[in-house]
Amino acid sequence: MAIGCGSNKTSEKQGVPNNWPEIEQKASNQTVTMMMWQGDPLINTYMKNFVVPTVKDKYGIDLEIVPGQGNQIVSTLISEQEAGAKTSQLDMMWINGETFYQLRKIKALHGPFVDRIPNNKYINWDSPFIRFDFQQEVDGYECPWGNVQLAIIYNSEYVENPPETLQELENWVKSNPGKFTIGNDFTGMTLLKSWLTFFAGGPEKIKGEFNEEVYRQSSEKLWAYINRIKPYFWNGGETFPSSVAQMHQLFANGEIWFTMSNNDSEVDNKINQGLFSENSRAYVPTYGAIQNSHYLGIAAKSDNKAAAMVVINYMISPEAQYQKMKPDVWGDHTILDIDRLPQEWKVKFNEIPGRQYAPQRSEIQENALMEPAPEYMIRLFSDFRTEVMEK
Amino acid sequence: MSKKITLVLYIVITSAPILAGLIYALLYSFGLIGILSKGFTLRYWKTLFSSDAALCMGYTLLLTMASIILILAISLILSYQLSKRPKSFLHKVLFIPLTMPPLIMAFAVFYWMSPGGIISRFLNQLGILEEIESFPRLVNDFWGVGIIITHVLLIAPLFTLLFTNQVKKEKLMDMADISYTLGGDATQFFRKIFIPVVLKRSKHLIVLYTIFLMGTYEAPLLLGRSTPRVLTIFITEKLSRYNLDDIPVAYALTSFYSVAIMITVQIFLTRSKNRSWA
Repeated sequence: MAIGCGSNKTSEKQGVPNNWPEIEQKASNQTVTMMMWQGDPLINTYMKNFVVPTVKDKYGIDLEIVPGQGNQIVSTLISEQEAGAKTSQLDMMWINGETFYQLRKIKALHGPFVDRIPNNKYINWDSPFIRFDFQQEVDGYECPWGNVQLAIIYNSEYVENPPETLQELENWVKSNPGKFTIGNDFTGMTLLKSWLTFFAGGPEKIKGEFNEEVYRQSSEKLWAYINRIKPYFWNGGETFPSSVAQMHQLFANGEIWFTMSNNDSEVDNKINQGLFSENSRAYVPTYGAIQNSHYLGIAAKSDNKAAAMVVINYMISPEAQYQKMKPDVWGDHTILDIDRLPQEWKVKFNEIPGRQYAPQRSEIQENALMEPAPEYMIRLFSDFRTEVMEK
Repeated sequence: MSKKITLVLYIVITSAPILAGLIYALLYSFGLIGILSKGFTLRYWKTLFSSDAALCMGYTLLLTMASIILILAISLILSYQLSKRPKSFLHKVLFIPLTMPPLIMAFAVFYWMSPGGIISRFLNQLGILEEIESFPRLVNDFWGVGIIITHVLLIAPLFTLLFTNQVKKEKLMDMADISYTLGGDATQFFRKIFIPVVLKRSKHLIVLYTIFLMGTYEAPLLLGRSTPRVLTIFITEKLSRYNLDDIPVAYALTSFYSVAIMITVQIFLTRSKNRSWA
């Protein structure tokens, strides 16, 4: 996969040496500031107890993690650009599609850099779920870090046969008032994207750049559908949880019987932590669920790009990816092509214990839907307010 | 001379950053600055006025007024009781809520008062509630009951202590004895002397806390509804959600709100000054 060919000259100008040994040398004893979402204790533990000490031991790099997700990253980098700052307070960030779109728009990402990272050779670039981020070619401006699929979590004590189609969901919601809702957040919008794909007539109809006509027609059906079942939602559909954490809280309390997660294996680690009941199960309905990857980007104005590249190279190494994929560590699916790995790692990855309460990735892969273009997300979020919440 | 320098320094330190922020927000809202700026436009102001901003403003004002009226009522009664018995246990208890940050208080209210919360579960265990869902909705509700309760728990203890100090300073309880001698009773003293004097002496504080309550974020975020939402939630969503074109809209509302507050405070201060001259 040729990404960003001929990027060496550009990189040299941006303060990154031409070859990897020199990059590693320059990275030594540097401090790298990474902004990332810190809403999950398991993810925080993985970073704090595994990644941070390892990059210190191996490369002498101090990795400092600061909390913040998509919108905060964008706001921080916008403010710096508007203030004419020469260097950024951030070196690297955990990002995904809509943030990538915004950061590319304001030219706040360094790149292309991914082709210069040695572990790039193991990345599964053949997968469209990794090569494209919200229908955008990543073009070497962000490096894949993990891959997840939205899964719906339900309490099997109360829900014997979870609805597989939107018609079944409508029937279920009407017969069980107050037990279902959608979050007014990234995860909720990800669910709505799969519903929009269904109403558009399938993934092919919504593929490629944003299409106003496709959006108009499919969203009309989507809003009609939601408004039809909204009165039977939690709290009579008069309010919607503002975050996935609030959805999980309501689910754990027994107020609702469904929650959802952008990590298909999250149910396992939530049960292991004792947060969800052991009757909790995850599934992907037959109409499908969005699968996407999350990425690592480098700030265009970072004065520590070499060290950030070394950290990213480590974070996508077989060692770090293997650790991250273990269900009791994080359960984040790898972006590496296991067949390309050295034999010892192939064996290790294949021996990772399977999920107990979530379906295996191979079972839900056929129901994976691509992320539509970022404009769909922007429109869904604003129209969900005007067409559903305010009605 | 040194008094003048101190005054200028005070203005530069306190007012200049606010004014600079306001000018920045105004310029941003007219598309004159900002990373995606394409020159002067009224587009963002039009978007603002066609949105639910007015509803948000009205809702914020209603919640704030409800909270402040309740806070004043409770604080006046408690401070009257405390002034009668200065060494009561209540005096010490009132310091406890003052140590709690707003977010923690909002969480506490959520855990106590949501249908899946402690009170509901307790009533369910006792057999008073058949299902936890039958518990009345006191959080994420239309009337903002949870938000108002959080505001009261946060501010009423502070007002009570301040009012009590005010009463002590004014030796107000001495006037109670005079009032009884002249044939008045406790209720008359409370209504006609205690309340007016305390409110008059604390009016600036009350105005400041009213403005503070209009700008609270944590309690409405956790305990409020998706719609209507308070101003701070509206602004934060516009500033930080997925559409970069919404940032100038957030700045438009920020400028409008700031100017409205400044005018209101100015009117209040002018009227208050005129009355004190009269």
